[in-house]
Amino acid sequence: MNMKDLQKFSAFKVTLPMIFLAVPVGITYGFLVVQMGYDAWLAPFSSLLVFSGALQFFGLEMAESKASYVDVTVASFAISIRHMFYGLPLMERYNRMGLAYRIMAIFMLIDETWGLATTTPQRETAKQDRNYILGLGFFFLCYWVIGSALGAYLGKIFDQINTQGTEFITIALFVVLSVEQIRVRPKIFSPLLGFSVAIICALIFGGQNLIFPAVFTIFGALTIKSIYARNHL
Amino acid sequence: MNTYQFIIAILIMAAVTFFLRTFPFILPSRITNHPVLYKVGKDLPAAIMMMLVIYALANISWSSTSQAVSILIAIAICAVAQYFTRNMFIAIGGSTIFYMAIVQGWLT
Repeated sequence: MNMKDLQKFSAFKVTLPMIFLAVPVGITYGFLVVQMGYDAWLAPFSSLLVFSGALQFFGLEMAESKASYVDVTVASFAISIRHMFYGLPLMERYNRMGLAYRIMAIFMLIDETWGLATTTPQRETAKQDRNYILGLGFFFLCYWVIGSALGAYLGKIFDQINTQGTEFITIALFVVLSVEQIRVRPKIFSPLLGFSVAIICALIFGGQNLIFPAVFTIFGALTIKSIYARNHL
Repeated sequence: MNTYQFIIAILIMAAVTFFLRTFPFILPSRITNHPVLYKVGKDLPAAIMMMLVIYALANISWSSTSQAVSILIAIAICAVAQYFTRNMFIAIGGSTIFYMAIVQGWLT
């Protein structure tokens, strides 16, 4: 396989391990949607539109407890707020795309694709880079939607398979990306900041609610550091 | 919620999430290209990636000490494997299979 082929297939290749994450989690999600008495098509439909595992599972809890639309809106902001900052490191690469491609790429900016896009090296040409970023999102979206549909339509079959332990794939992915981030930018401040802020926020606010306070603390601390560095150089 | 209300809730979740993902791109470029924010953007992924590790760890069930120990060992395997092989398949696959073997009791 020459370099060109490798670049063409690289988006698929790097998302391949994610099949074992997105499909089982999607199956669980789809199964729950049907269990709650909703039509099966709503599972892939919501996965396709929302494309956020954490928020979709929380959405089921809200549907169960008959939450108001205001509650749904507030919870959506609280859980998805981290995405507000995800565009920043990718700004240059995204602005090289045409508008339609850029909108698609923004839609597919989830934790996993963002982590992979910011960590793996930029592709040689603008077009290759665009296809790479879109590919990461597209393949992950496919796994997620297909998993949700499988769980919704065939949920009972998958009940037999023991997937206990596959939830570790999420942790493993972010560990891998952290290792690569430290390799690419061998500075200890940022990873240490993220690590300690997240632990402190988990202890104060609980593991489920750490994202909102942690994201703003990290962003604030990095902004102060950046301003300080600018004034002292 | 009935089906109609659930569909509305899905649309709200989709709209809010898409708006937040779009947010930096609709800001004027003199803000997002400002050197201060540019540097924040460069530092952000490493910090957020560590936060996501903690978030994922905080949201799995910690049922026993032996499970907690096996998670920490699996993380160590994953980090070391990635550091030396730079191969995601080996790092993620190896550590996950190790973890599954422990929690599903393949070895006992």
